[in-house]
This record gives sequence, structure tokens and C-alpha cells, in this order.
Amino acid sequence: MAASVRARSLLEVRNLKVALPAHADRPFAVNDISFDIGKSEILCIVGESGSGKSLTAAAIMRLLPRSVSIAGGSIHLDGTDLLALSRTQMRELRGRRISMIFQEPMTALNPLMRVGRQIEEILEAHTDLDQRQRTERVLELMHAVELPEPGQLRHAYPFRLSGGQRQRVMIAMALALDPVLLIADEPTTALDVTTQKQILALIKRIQSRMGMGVLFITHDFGVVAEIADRVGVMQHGHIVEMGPAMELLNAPRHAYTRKLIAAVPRLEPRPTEEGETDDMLRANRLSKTFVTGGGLFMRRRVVRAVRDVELVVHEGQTLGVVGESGSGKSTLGRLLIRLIEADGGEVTFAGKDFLHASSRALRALRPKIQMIFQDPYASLNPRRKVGEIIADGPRAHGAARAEALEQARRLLTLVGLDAGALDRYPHEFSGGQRQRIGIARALALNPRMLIADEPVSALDVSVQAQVLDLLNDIRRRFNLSMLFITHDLRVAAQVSDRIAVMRLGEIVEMGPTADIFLRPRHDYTKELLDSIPGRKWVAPALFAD
Amino acid sequence: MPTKRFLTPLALSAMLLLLPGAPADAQQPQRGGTLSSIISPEPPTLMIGISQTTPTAIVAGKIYESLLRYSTDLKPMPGLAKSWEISADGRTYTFRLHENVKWHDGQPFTAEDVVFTATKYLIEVHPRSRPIMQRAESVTAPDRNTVVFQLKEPFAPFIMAWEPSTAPIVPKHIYDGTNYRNNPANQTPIGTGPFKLQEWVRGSHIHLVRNDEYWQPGKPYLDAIYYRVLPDAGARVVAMETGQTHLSAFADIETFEVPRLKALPHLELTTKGYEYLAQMVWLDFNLRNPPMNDRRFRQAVYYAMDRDFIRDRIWFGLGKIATGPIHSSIPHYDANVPKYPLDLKKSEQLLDEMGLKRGADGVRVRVTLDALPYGDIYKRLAEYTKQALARVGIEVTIRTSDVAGWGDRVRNWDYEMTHQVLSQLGHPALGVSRLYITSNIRKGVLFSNVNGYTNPRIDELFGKAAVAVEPAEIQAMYSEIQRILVEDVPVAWLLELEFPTFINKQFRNVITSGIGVRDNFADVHMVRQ
Amino acid sequence: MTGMEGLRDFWQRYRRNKGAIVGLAVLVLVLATALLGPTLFPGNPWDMAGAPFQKPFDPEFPLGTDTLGRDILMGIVHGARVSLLIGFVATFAAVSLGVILGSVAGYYGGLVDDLLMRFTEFFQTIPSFVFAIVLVAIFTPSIASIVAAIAIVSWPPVARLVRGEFLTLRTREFVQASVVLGRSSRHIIFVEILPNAVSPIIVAGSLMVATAILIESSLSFLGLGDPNMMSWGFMIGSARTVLRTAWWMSFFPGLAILLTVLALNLVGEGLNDALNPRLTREGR
Repeated sequence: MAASVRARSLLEVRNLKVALPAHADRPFAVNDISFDIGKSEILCIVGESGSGKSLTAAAIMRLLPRSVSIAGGSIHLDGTDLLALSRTQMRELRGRRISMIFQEPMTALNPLMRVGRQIEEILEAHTDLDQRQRTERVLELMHAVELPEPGQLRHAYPFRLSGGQRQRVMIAMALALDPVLLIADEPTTALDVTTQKQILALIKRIQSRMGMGVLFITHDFGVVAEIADRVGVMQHGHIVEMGPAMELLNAPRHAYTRKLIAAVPRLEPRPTEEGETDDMLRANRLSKTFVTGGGLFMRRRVVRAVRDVELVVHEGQTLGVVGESGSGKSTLGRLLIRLIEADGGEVTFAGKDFLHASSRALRALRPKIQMIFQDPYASLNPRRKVGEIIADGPRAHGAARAEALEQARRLLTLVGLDAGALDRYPHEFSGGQRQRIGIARALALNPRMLIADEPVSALDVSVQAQVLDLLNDIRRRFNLSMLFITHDLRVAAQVSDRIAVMRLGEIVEMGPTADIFLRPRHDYTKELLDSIPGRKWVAPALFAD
Repeated sequence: MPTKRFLTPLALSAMLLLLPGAPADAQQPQRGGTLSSIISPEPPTLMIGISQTTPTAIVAGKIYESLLRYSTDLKPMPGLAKSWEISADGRTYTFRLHENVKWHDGQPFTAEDVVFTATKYLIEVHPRSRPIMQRAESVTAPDRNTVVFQLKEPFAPFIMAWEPSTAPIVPKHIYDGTNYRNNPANQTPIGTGPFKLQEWVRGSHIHLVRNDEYWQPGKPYLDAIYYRVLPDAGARVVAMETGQTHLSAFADIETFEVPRLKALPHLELTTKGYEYLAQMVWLDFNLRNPPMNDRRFRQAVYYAMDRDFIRDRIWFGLGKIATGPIHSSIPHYDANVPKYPLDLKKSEQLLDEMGLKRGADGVRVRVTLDALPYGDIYKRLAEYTKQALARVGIEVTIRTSDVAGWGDRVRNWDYEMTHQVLSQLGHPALGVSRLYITSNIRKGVLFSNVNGYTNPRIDELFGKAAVAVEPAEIQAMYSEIQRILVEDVPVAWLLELEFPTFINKQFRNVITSGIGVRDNFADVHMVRQ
Repeated sequence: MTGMEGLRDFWQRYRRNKGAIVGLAVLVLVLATALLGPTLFPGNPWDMAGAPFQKPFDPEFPLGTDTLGRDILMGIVHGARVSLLIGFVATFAAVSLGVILGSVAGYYGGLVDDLLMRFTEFFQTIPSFVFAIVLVAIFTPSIASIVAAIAIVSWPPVARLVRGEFLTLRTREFVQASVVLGRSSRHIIFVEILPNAVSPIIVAGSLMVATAILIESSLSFLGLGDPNMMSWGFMIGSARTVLRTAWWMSFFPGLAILLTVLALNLVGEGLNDALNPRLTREGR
């Protein structure tokens, strides 16, 4: 973490207000915030969804959506009043002096244009360089963002690149004109943790080499710990606390900051429990291969998503399955619950053959093993009432409607929602509340095992903590076994008794959580652990007030 | 193209114009000119022996001839036969033929051709003609120009059968010994008529040209006749209006256009020329099914038909109210029969008597009516019938079909009510009896006794009347037939159809016989104005 | 759309399209004519009430009479019922058929999908109007055969549409959740997926009613209509041969068809805008 050098601030934001349209839940998205960014420093603005952090970044770039407007305050870049500039002047400024990189590179890049050309376009639009000079610069930039074989890669289309590579291309585009300020809006949120590590390191390197100021928006305190010089915490459009990174992270003062930091899952592995318990679920040589294409006109693509996986979940225990995208962990989850049919192997559940069970036997077994899904917005049918959604399971297995709804009412109370929710529709609830409903639905059939597929990945960190607590509570109360799929090692550490690390369809290492975290054996496991942002920072043991 | 031959009579006529009191066309008719006529639909063939549809008859009537012709009051006139004798016992018919008649291919026409036609050809290919020709015990040719028919028993109608669509004379030297239907000469018809086929462009026109070797000296006057194929009703009207065509007949012009065309100065309207055919439209009942099998129902329906409305509103005044099974222009017609004027009360009374009471919705009984698929006018007739019968509580459901579908239903007796239009062909024994005699109930054959009427007295009368000799006796029998049938109402005769024939005033002598435009047009000539 | 506020939202969005409001107004007028007309204009449109060929704008026969003296205004009022009835019933049948086939194809995929799509394509390769003519001609024109013919030529696009929606929705997590809970396929198709696929079906359906009315009119015009039903197409068809002299016999029913079809199209577009709102983002 570089020491901040400040003569005059590069960016000065004073009393900025951004107004929302008439029927929004509050009048201002950003309400009277002020902050500075120094010439060569990284300022992280951290907050949950709805805090206004993204709109702040958009306001600085003057790229607000049509219905939203700047209602007050000032923004000065190196002395220039940005709000006084005309649209043409602002357009000149964008790219040249301030650049922005976004969360989803696939939508920021033109899918029909080669990447080299896209970078070149910026040079073409803003500079007088000729063709040869532009090509040189493109190669230079691609080199600077550490893309492999720039000479060849520049002719590729975006879909051929990996997520990390696309992000690098976007960074190259952002840096093309040597801006003095780089705004990064959650640039690594959609990336794998290992890739994230590389990109964060890249940003840091470039920033220090070029002496840029960086405004880095994120929701992840780990990332803050990794790269920030200074931090600002936003809530409901206000900056509630701001200060040097290490100070704020280790000794937060504002109640909200304390709450957020308390919610960050600690990297302390759960202690190993004693005693042998029975197997709840056992998988042997489980495999699934996807074959696409393969006709007269398309080349066959063979993807071995899950290869010969063997695992055991003990009764009453949680097995965490950790991996990056493409590791096959989601496919594994779906295989185990027979949403997808496996190509080979065996699965024994509660002593019975699960994989090859007949449809009648399967029907009898299904209530015992249930699933919690990742996306709170897509996992509940928007056209059905919450009560019916939760009652669906029991009704599918013969329960009367009144009885099933009564049970739904009880479950809602159990997961911390009031009974009135029975008659409401999913869109009336927040993400965290929807996940609770999803959990209630899964519990309605009195299962003995839950498979949780990234159940908290789409939630804000404070909500995440609550849901994890809920899961924990339920698990203990009903002595449930759980298979917990996640990409977030912090979360895995907190909930799992044992962990299996997956990579490219295979389990590379499996064992008690403590062993995996403290004494990793496989190189990949080590790499994963190494990539956890802010792993060196130990979150203080705070109690949320 | 004026030729010397043409100019002389023209000059002569011009001079004669200067003489008072001598109208130009009383003189020798001018030779030359081309008549353009409408033909619709396009005939399937010109070989009239094989097909006798009206379009075929119209065009082929110029190419083929028969022994006789018939005036507009259906009196026999000479045709290929210059004179004839009927023996006193009515069994021997002797025809003396014109000499020096040649076929279109140059071969001479003789009595042998007539013998061949009557004994072999017609019997093989012509279902309507067959029973007539089969009445002959023998047909002989004592010399080149005489034919003698010896009938098994007297048959007065025999003299009415000699027009081109019933008995066309065909060349023996072309057809004898061949497969009559597939003979290639069918494509290039060879007859004795005043015109020959020059060219037929399917879908466009048929071009006939003068037969220079025609046996009547000086005739035909016309150089050529063009038949233009015009399937669209609107196009036909325009063609007559603009003078692109000079002649229309039958249903070429829709009835509601008639008043307008009639008023045009260059067109003349006549309803003559259909006397031999004598077409009538009636409402047919399938007598096998209730309620049609009850005479009271049929009478009730007849009383509910407002035939004045039908004539005036649907046919726009073209037609005559029919009184019974025989057309008023056909021999032995008798108007002294029970009448069925429009009388809704009587109709309802009859239905009540039958026990067909009105239900809560006002309906006594439901029947289906198959609409005749011959055109819009018959569609309207069906709609009218539905409305008229609704007034007395009979609910009619109309079924529509195409010609083939309708034909299938009717010939297989799969209908309850339908309309029919049929020709009477010059004599009750030739075109009327076939509909009412038991022996002609033949399933699968159209234009037979399809509705199943069977009455032994009618069978007896028709049989006797055909072979009787004494005129008074014959008339008495036909009168009784008409009275019985009108009481029984096997069908409800609606209208004697009149067709508008429009003739461009430049042309004279177009309609000179009872078959009108189906005749040979040898006498038609053009008058330049 | 769920709940009263959902309905209010929907109406707000619908209202924004001026054309859609006009279309709705005209459609309501047509529906009112169909429902109330026969009460306000009692009688039988088939009655030969006056002299034929009467010109319009006459106090007794405001729209004139036709070739047999039938009142054209009566014909239009009573014909509204027939045309709309055929339009809606045929569309309902086509949509039902399309939904069933499309949902099965989209949900099960694989061989079932292949077979059903080949079957659908077979129907789509035949030009629909010609096919309708053939069907009606074979089965004897009647209201039932016309409705059936229209339904048979109209269902393929609906099936494709529904299949597309099902392919998308089938992979949604709430559908997977249903499977995991042990719900039957039938429940999942009709209770889980179908209600979410309803918006594009409604839009397509409203446009199909217009097409159905046009097909029926065209069939009647060609003489293939039910001869016992006075529909607008029938009126135009029976006046076809007198078009030159009696323009009003074809004009007024033609106008009625035009307005109805136009109204349905506008309403369909309005529904599309209201049910599929789009968000736009612009720089400032």
C-alpha cells in the first residue's frame, strides 16, 4: 500500500447530489458527498447495493442514465470544473484524462470487432497517429496489460478471450490515452478469484508506474484490504466514514462500517469435529460429459465437466465444494440431485442407490434431499405467491392445501419472515429475504440433506452474514447434512466441516477445513488460497451493533 | 379487306339506296365481315358427338350439321335433308338429302354417312341420342341421297331429334372402324357445316373461317367467326359495351346488367333462340326422405314460393312463370292445370295438417338445400328460398359445393332439396319424360329421375303417348300427364328461363331457328353503317 | 402481471401509446356492436326488406340494400358478431394448439422437440391462405370448418413462439427448484412456466384475431363461406359481380373489416409495448 502523496488533489468532489426520478424509494441516490483523490493514490469506495457508489462514478464521468440527474455540488478534475463543461468538451475529456473500466467486459466490448481494432479505435478518434504508429501503440498497450502474444491476440474477437483477458483488454483501452484518473467500477467482481488477484496486481502496478489516481468501487472488503490507499464507506447515498485503509479496516469507527466488517467471513477454518458419523451421501466415479455440435457443419465440442468424482458427506456435516468458474462444481451439484443425469458412476444417498433409482423410487427419495439456488431473483416464480411456492413441495407429495400452507407459515417464521409474506409476490422482497424464502421452500419437505449452490454469492455482505447464520442455525437444529458449493473461500471456511477443491472437473484435494487452509498440499489449492484478496488482513473481531 | 367480289354488291346496294322504298338489306346480303362472339366457359372439346355442353354446341354447331333444322315455333325445316316423308302408320321415315355436299376434307357426303352415324356412332357415344336411334329397326340407304328409317313402332318425337347437338352427322370414312373417342380427328373436327376450324388458342380464342365449298351457294356470308374466351363476368360486359365482341348469349351477361346494355344504341336484345332447349329451373325434392315424401309438404313449399319475386328480383324480369313440367314453347303444353299462387296461409295450413307444428323457436322442420353451383344467380335463389320458407316455419340450411361435388351428391341421391336447371329438347318425350318415369331411376346418373318419383299411371301415359299416332289422342295423354304431375308436385317448377342474347346491330339473321346461337350461322351477314 | 398495482402499472404503460388507445376505442365500439347490435337492430339480416340496389344515405336504409334487397346496415351489425366470433374462436383454438405443442417441444427438447418442429415446419411450408381454401373446400363450408381451417393454418407461429419461451424459461432456477421438489412435468409446464410465457402469447394472439377475421372474409368473398351466416366477407363476396354499379354493397362491409383489423393491430402493438418495457440509457 503506497503512501499517499498529495500536493493538490487530482479530483475534488464537493457536496455532490444526484437526484432520482419521482417514484424512487429515496429522493437522492447520492446525497451531499465530498471526497478527494490524490494524484497517485487509490481510493476505494465500498458499499452495498443501493448505496449510490456506482452512480457516483457515473456522475464524475457524466454518464448518468436519462432519468437521473446531478442536483448539486461540484466536481473538479485538476482544477477544471467538470460540471461546467459542454457535452463536446466532456466527450474530449473522457478517455483522454478520465477513463473508466466496468464490471462486465463482455458488454463493454463490441462482440463483432476484433480486440486490437477496438483499442485502435480510441487512438484513431482522439489522436493524429498514423496506422503504423497506432499499431505500435496497441501492441505496447497489450503488452503493458500483460496479454499473451499481443501480435496474434489483437486479431481475436472478444468471445475467444477468457474473462480475465477481456478485462485486460478493457484496461488497455482505458489506458490508451494516458489518463490521469482511472475509475474502476467493480472490475473484478465477475472474475474468478485467481484472475482477480492478477488483475488487482496489474492495476496496482500500472497505477504506480503511470502515477494515475484510481477511484475503485467495490463491495468486497478483501479487495479493499488488497489495494486501497484510502477508503470511503457509502450507505444510502452518504459517505459515513473515510480514512486511510489500514486504519479504517482495523479500527472502524462508524456503526455501519463496523457492521460491514463484522459481516466479512473470517478466514478461520472451523475446527474439526470429533467422532465418526454415518455417510449421508456418497459419490463414486461420478462423471458427466457435454457434447455439443458435431454435425456436418459444426465441430464437436467435448467438455468433460465432471470427471470421476468421489466424495462423501457425513451425516450432520457440511462439505464445502470450492472452485472457480469452469471447475464443474455447479454441474456436480446438479448431478448429485439428479437435475442432470450423470454419464457414469454411482451415488448412494441414505443407503439407497440414488443415481439409478427408478422414477418411482426417485419420487420417494426426492423429499429427502433438497436444493437452495444461487440467484434470488430467478429462483422464485414471479407469478406465484410466496405461500404457494413454499407449499409446493408438500403438495407435490400429497399434502392438502390448507395443511401445506400452515406448514409454510411455520417455516416463514423459522426463517425470520412474518406470516403476511404468504400472500405476497416475490418481487416485493429483497434479495436476502428471497433467499430465506428459498430456504423455507427447501425445508418444507423435511429433508435430511441440502445442496446449496452458491446461495449467498449474489447477496450483499451484511445480508450474506445473516443468511449464513440462518443456514447454520437450521443445520444444527435439524441435524442436516449439507453440500455447500461456493467460489468464495472465506465463506467456505466459515461453513464447511470438510472442503473439496475442484478444478476442471476433478477434485484435486479434499479434507477437513483446517487441513485445507493451514496445510494445503496440492499446488492449485495453494494458488487459490494465495489469491484470496486481503488474506493478510485479519478482520477484527467485532460485534455488529 | 375489300375485294372485287365485295365491291360489286356494295356498289349495287349503294345505288339501290337511292331508289325509294327499297331497304338495303332486302337485297342480296353483303358478303364479308367477321363476327366476334363471347364464349364462356371455354368448351372442353369441339367434337359434339362426345360432349354436348352448351359451349361445345355453340361452336360445333357451325362445323357439324344434322338432317333438319327447327323454327322458333319448333316446326321442322330442311337441313342436310331437303325433304322428308313419314308413312301413314308412323313407322317409316324417308329423308331425301341434298346433293353435292362435301365434307371439310373434300370427300363427298352421302347417305352412308347418315346410316353410319345413326346405327353405329351415336349409339356408341351419345347417351341421350342412343334410345332415340335404337327405336329404328333398320336404317338403309337405297341410293346415295336417300335414307330410310324403319322404326319398331311409331314414335312421333322422332322428327324432333335432328339438330346438331342431338344427332350430328359425322363422316363415316373418318370414324368407321376406329375408336370414336380417341380418334385424332376429334382435334380437327371435320363436318359439313359452313365454317371450319382455323385455330384454337386455349384460354384465348377459337377462330372459325368460311368453308368455301359449303353446299349452300353463296353462303356463308361471313368470312370468319371469332369466339373469345372471357371467364370474367365484368370483362364480358365491357367487351359488349365497347364493341370488342358482337354477340353474347345464355348467361354471358348477368341479369342485372341487362337493363343497362339494353339501353345502348349499338346493341339489340332478344330472348328468342332458346325455344328448342326450353330450359326451366325448379326446386327438386328427394322423395325418399321425410318430410319431402309427403305431398302436402311439397305443396306447402310451392305455395310459399313467390315466383313473381323470383322472376323480377333475381332474374330481373327475364323469364316466365312455369305452370308445370312442360315448357310453354314445347309441343303439347297445356296451361289448364292446378295453380299454385303465393299463399302463405294455405302453406301453413298444409304443414299444420301434416302435424309439423311450430316449436318454441318457430321452426316446424329443418331441411337442407344444396345450392346449384352454376353461378351467383343460383346462390341468390338459394338464399331467397331459405328466407321464403323461413316465413312458414321451415328452416333451411344451405350447402354449397363446386359443380363436381354437387353432381356427386345429386346423382347419388344424397340430398334433401336442391334446384335444377334442365333443357326439354324440343319434345316432352325427348327431354321431360326422362325425369318422371320409373325406368329412368338410375343411381349414379345425372339428369335421370334422381328424386325417385314413381307413378304407374305416369309411366303408362308417357309410354303410350310416345308411340301413339293420332294427334288428338297424344295431346289428351300429355294433358293428363301434366295435370297429375302438377297435383303431385314431385318438383316445384319455378321459372321458364329466358336468356338475353345481345347482338351488335351490324349483324343480321343471327337468330333464325329454335336453337339460336347454336345454329350454323350460314345466314348471318354484316351490314355496314 | 400480479395484483392491482400490477394492473395499474400495465395501464400506465399501455396508455403511453396513442395509437393503442385509438385502437382500443374502436375495438370496444366493434365489440359493443356485436353484443348489443342485434338487440338495438332487431330482425333478420337475411330478410329481403326492400327493393334491391337501393343507394345509401336513405332514411329507411342508411347504408342501402344489396342485390336481393337486404338491408346492408343490418348485415353489418349482425355480421359483426359472426366475424368476431370466428376471429376469436379460431384464434383461441390456434393458440391452444400452439401452446400445447410448443410447450411440449420446448420443455422436453431432444427427439420430441425435433419431431414436433418438423411437424410444425410441414404446416408452415404450405401457403396458409391457399391451404385454408383447400381445407374448407374439402370439408364443405360451414362455420365449424372455417374455424377449423383458420386454426389449422394459424397455429405454427404460436407453437414456435411458445417453444422459444419455454426453451428460455426451462433453464431458470425456479423451474429447476420445481423439479427438485418432485413436481410433475405437467404441473411445471402449466403452473410454473406457462404463466411466465404469457405476455408474448397475448400479443401474438391479438394480432392473430385480426388475421383470422381477414382469412374468414377472404374465404367468404371467394364463395367458400358458410352460406347460412351473414358475415362481412360474405357481403362483399355477394356484391363482387356488381362492384362497378353498386359500390356501396362492398364498400361498407369492407370499411367495417378495415377498421376492425386496424384496431386489433393497434391494440396488439400497445399490448406489446406495455408488456415488454425496455430500459434505455443515454449519456449526458
